[in-house]
Amino acid sequence: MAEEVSSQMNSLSISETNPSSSATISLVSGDDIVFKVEPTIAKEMETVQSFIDETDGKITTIPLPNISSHDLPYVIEYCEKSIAGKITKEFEAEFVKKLNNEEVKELFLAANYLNIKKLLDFLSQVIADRIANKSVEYVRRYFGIENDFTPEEEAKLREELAWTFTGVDPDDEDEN
Amino acid sequence: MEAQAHNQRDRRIDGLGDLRVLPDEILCSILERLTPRDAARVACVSSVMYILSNEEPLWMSLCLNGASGFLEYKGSWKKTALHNENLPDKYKEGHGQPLHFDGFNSLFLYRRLYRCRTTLDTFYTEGGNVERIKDISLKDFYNEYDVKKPVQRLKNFSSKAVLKIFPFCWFCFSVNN
Repeated sequence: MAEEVSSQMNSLSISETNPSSSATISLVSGDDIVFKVEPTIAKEMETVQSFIDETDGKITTIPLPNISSHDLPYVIEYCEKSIAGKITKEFEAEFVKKLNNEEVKELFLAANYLNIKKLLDFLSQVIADRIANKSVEYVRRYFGIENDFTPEEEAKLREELAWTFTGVDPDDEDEN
Repeated sequence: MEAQAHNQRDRRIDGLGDLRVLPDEILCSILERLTPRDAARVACVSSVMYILSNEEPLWMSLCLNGASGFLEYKGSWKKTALHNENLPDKYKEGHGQPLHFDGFNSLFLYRRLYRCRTTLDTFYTEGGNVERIKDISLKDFYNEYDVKKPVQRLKNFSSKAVLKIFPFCWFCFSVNN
């Protein structure tokens, strides 16, 4: 995976030498890796763009402490496709095939932090697909949610909703 | 994000886990993409998921997503959805009392509810106390009017025109004489 990241970074730094991109934006991941991107990519990320706007474009290095160098290339890839108008069902299917559950969740949180509407929208659907027909315990584990019901409350709910429990997928501990 | 109530423990931390940083709007948008059966089961995950998965606007969306032709309204959107699932009778109406949980505040859910349910009895449009404003942005509406007071915006009022300006809001339209 480290190799993949560095190759992504290479391809991104190459674009820096492109004469048309006089003012590239540096995005700094939480683990201090710098990603150089075109200003058009930054525009897709509302949080980044408003940071640039607020400083009148003087600051072009933007720290993103909540986003790791593992997730950021995926975000950049999606944004690149998006501005190229190349978000197709096929691309999205391929994109999501590469991601395990944990990565989908991390990317979703990153998309929320960066406020990228299209990516959020797309990942909402991916998350919905990944919890479809899964057990209650599976959903709790996936999102790190505590069961905060009293035993009586949970028993009542499970009885009322018994019809939703038939035929759910068996839990697989090795899901990730 | 939302204001906390006094000393009550905030349910968001346990009840939403890693999702606690997300705005409620986004949480709701995930639930809207589930099937009615999955959305109903999510109620067993935690108290906060129970609250979110019992919201009427969610069930209205689920009904309309799955609607093909004639839809018979059964007194609530959730009941309407359950009737459409071809369940045994005992599951269709829900059992007894719904559960109640304190320690969860959501300005998003409250605003949506308020827009749909507020009474306009104390407001008068003709020479009364409802402001008429020509151009109002979504941001100004949120900051100045939403949940505080009604505002009259349009000369040629139509639901289509309102939805064009406020495409992501829930409204209940009423037309007074």
